[in-house]
Amino acid sequence: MKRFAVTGRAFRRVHSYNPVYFPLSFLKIIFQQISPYFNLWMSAEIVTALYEGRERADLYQLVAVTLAGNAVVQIAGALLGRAARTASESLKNNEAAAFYQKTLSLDYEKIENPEVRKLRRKIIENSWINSYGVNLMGDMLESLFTNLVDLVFSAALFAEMILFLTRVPFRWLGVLLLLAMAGLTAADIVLRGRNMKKVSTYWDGVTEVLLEENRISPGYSVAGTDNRIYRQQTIIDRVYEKSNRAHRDAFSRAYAKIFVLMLPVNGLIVLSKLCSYLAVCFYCILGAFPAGSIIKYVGYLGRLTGSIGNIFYALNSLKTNEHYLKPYLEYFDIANDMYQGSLAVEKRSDKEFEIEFRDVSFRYPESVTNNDAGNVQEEAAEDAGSGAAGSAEVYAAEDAGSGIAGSAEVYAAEDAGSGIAGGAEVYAAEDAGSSAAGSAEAHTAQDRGQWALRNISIQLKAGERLAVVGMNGSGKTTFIKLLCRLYDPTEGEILMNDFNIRKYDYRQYLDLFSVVFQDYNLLAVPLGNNISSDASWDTGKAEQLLEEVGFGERYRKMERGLNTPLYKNFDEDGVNVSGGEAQKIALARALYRDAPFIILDEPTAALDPIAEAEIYSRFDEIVGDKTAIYISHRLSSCRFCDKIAVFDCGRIVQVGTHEELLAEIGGKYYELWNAQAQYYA
Amino acid sequence: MEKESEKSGTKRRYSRISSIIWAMKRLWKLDRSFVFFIFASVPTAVVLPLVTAYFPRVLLDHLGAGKTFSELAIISVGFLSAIGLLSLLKDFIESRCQARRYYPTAVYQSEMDAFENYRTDFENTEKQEFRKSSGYAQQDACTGNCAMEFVWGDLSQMLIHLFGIVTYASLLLTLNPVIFAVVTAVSAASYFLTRWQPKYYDKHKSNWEKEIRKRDYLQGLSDDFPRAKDIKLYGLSDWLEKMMRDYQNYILRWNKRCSLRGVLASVIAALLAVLQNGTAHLVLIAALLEGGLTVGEFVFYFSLVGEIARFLQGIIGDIAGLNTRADKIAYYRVFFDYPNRFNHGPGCALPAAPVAVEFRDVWYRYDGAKEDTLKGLSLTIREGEKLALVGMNGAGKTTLVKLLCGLYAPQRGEILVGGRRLEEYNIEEYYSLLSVVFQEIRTLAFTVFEFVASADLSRPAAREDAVLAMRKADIYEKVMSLPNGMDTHLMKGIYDDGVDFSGGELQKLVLARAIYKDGSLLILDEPTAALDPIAENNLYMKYQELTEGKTSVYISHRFASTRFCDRIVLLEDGVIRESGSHDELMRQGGRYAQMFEVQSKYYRNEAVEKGGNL
Repeated sequence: MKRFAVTGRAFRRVHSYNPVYFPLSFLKIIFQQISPYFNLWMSAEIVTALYEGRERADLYQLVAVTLAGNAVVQIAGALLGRAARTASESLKNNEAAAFYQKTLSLDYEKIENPEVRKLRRKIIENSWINSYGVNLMGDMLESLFTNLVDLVFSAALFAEMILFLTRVPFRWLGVLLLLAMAGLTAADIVLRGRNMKKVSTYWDGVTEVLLEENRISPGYSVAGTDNRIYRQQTIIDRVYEKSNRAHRDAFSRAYAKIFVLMLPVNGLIVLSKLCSYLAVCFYCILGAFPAGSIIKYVGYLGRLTGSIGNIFYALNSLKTNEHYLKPYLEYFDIANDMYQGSLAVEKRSDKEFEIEFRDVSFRYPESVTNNDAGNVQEEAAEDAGSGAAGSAEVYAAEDAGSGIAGSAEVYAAEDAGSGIAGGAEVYAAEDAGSSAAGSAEAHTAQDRGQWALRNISIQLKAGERLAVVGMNGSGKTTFIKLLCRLYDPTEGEILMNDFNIRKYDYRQYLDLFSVVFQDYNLLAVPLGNNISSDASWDTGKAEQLLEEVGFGERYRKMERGLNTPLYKNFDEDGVNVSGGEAQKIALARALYRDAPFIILDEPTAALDPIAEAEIYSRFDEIVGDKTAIYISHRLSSCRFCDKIAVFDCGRIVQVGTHEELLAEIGGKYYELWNAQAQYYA
Repeated sequence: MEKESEKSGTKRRYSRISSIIWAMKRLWKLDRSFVFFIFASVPTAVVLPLVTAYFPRVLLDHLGAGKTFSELAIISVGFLSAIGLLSLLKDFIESRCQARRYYPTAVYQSEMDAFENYRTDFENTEKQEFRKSSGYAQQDACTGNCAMEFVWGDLSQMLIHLFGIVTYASLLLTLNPVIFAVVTAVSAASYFLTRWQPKYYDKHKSNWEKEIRKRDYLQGLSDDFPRAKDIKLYGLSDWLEKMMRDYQNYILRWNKRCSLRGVLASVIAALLAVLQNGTAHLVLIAALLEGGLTVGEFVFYFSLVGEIARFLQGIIGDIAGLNTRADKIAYYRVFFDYPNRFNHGPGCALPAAPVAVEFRDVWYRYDGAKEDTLKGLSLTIREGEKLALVGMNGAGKTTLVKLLCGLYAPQRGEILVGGRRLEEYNIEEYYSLLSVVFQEIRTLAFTVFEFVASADLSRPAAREDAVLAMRKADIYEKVMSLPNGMDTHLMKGIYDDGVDFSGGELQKLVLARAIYKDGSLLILDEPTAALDPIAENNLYMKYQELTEGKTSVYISHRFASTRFCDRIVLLEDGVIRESGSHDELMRQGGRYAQMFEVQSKYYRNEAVEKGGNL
């Protein structure tokens, strides 16, 4: 069974989320499958009894058994069904939790890596489009089991029929009819197997269109203001018109092709059915069994041939689905390779921590999740739609052809449309809560292979205030990321109190820093939790900090105080805060932590001059005896820092006090300073 | 139950019949063959089960009558080919219906989006009432099985069930009316039983609906990489997970309660089935024993009971379903009826550049707010004037801009541009006067050219003008360094050549867009927040050139900008507090002077005391 290694791994993972779901669901299937056999059996008994003209009481007894049996099976099915649904929900919950844990346990490097992000999105996309991946795996395993149960029952009853046949004289016609039926079934299975591959190529077109829609829709989430003033709708209309038409044409083509493809298969099914009727009638006339049994045996034969075909189909789908399972497993396989360290960080009340960068250079990693991740993407895209969606159709078409009811599969495809809509919502919700605009300069330097930082050497004494200035993309934010060990240097080393920072216990080291990144994010949970970063908070401390960062006036207007949820995507009654307000909250959050290092990246970009000035004037009070790093395009902030580091193209070009640097006429700092200061002369 | 009462309000506006006809007409116009196929499914759906049930009857009766094998073979071939052909027809029709069913929803959805994002007043889209209406229309008329094009499907289903009942009942009634009565009663009861769980669900869903939103938010964090960074940094992960677990379990408990009703309903339905099938058996056996029925007929009639029960349950569902459908269609219609304050029809001629602007006693309050944001603001901007607008966060600057842009309409007072009230212009035409840089930047997966030139794509020298605008905004070099130049797409991960611009670059790009549009009113709201000092200074130096022949409003927290404007207006608490040139305001020594002082002290060369305390 090496062929199903991926499915095996995925099954073990999903099974571990809830170990009772699959057993329950299989038990339910057994009950479900008993029902048609029981009814066929009982109706044959009744009809035979009628033919034989038996007593009324005998008949009533048979009827009573039929009714009671059906009631028992239905009730047991309902109870098991409910238990299985509950188990399935808990399975889904645990799966969501597993994804949550995985994402949150990833190294920063991985979190920032677009490939990892793509992988996660891919898994979500797969589940939108006709539930590829683990959902389809579950469905197919259940279908496989259903048909195996069917096969066992129908084979047993077929054996019973053969037993009857041996009691009548041998006739070539009867044997030929049975052989013809077997041959037609075999042909049908072979043909269906072949068709499956073709059908999957037909569905490729559809899946491509769906994936395309999914992919582009976040690209057209327009702002109502921009759209009206700049008439973006003209372009958006064009895009959607095209995509809607592509959608329609792809579906239309795929369905038409599949219909034609299925014609011979349906023909074979009718012929095989004809053979089974003829064979059963033939032997009935011969006297192998009573007339009442015809329907029973024709029914069994139909189920026997059907289940064999369906088993092949389920195995095939499982195989094709492995493509979509791969990203799922891959995601959980992402290994963290950042060295975690073991040296305990000394708890120093005097906050005597000194930092030194020694000839540090840094390049953003090329692609973090090995190349495999990328390959899976391509493969998956290539094979998109093979199997699953397509096969669902084969299934449906087949059911229709054989005239048996159960057309549930037909509707499988129907949800695809709403899945897309769902996707768009996910994106929209994502945007809704995102706070300040500033999407960070990180990306510019992230161009592969380029040095984001080169030969950086600088010392930072305890209690010092360092201002970091420079043009967009000069490496300021990267410098901070290295300091906080979100990334490790490519060359050189960073020391804290003479030890390489890699040696310290990672979590403890992280706890030394309070950072407000330019692209900080608040959570949509209550304000108090945002500030304390914990389940509970110290109201006095939180309120005092909110006051200090200038959020006091707004805070007093919040009726629910620290219990007020931020934004609307967690709690409908949440309160939207502006970019400036969010910035103040983020600042309060950083201060609440009371860590020895405080790092602020453009903390006043969205603030008005008074609010900014308040932060400036209270900076000493706010920072206290902590070591502080302040990054800003507003050079005024340099005036209250002990030391200024000027970054240019990934290097530190100047270090010194404001006065020293300003004295270097023609230097970078001189240029930057005067660009702003001239207006305030 | 606020939602319910609101929803019932919309029902009254359009009668159910009118909504059904309206939706039918729309689909008829959009896709006639879809409608044709939906109806073509009726005859096969009625006839196929009948033929399928008739076959064993004939077979059994002939067997009982001791017919030869060849006779049975002929019967089998006949019936099976009939069943095969009918199934083929059914498949064909179904396949065509499936193929066509997505397109209408997609079109309706696009129309909704276009209305919301473009056609209706912008102000509407920020109103809670409008958002709700949009939510209903979206959920109830444009998603999955709720989609309104299914109104035709509803009707065809109803026809199938109706014809089915008439045909089958006439067969069954000739035999015995008791069975029919029992089947009807059991079907009705079964239908209402199936409604038990959904009804219980609807009645109690307020108990967990909010929790679902919270659970989904928390679960969604596994896909929210930017936020994952902050969660890790601040060590929030365990607490959030515990909270997620709590919500999951809470919702699970309620779902179990709901499904308990479902199980009970199934148990009762199973017992009702005993009643129905028991009666059928008894009556049919009695008829057979009395000699009025052959064995084949017995089997045939028994399967008729099953079919007719299906049709009966179906038709009760159809009637209820059609009513719901009509209500849902009404939500869609009501959404498009949302009233506008601006004029979207023909308007008066646009004024020639440069234009004058006047705010006369303008009051504005946001939807749902307790206080006015603008409180009787009056302001005149002369033709060609360069105005600087300053003030604290929340003073109303951005609101003022949105009013001037015709994105909001004041509750009281009026705004005149070129001597006429904004409402007198056709609002889309009015927009063409405006070149605006908003504070918030939203990128789209457009090409750089499309992004810059979307306001007027068909201009003869569009590409040349776009190049010119990008040069002026200092972004041309960056754009030319991209693989496909200005035909490169914005946003990574959408198109293959997509690129993400940094905050500073984006700010330059939206400036280029405003320059390209060349509107006679130039409005810049914090256009340099993400720019480094050099880039910021470059914009200041170019400001004179950019505003040539235009009326302009410049909003910034950086007072440097006020030095190159003709006049400064200081907004405070929704009114204009101070107005004048930089020198005048400095002499006045009011709020402006104070704010300027606060900001400039750090830039002056005298020593600043540590910690910023002067």
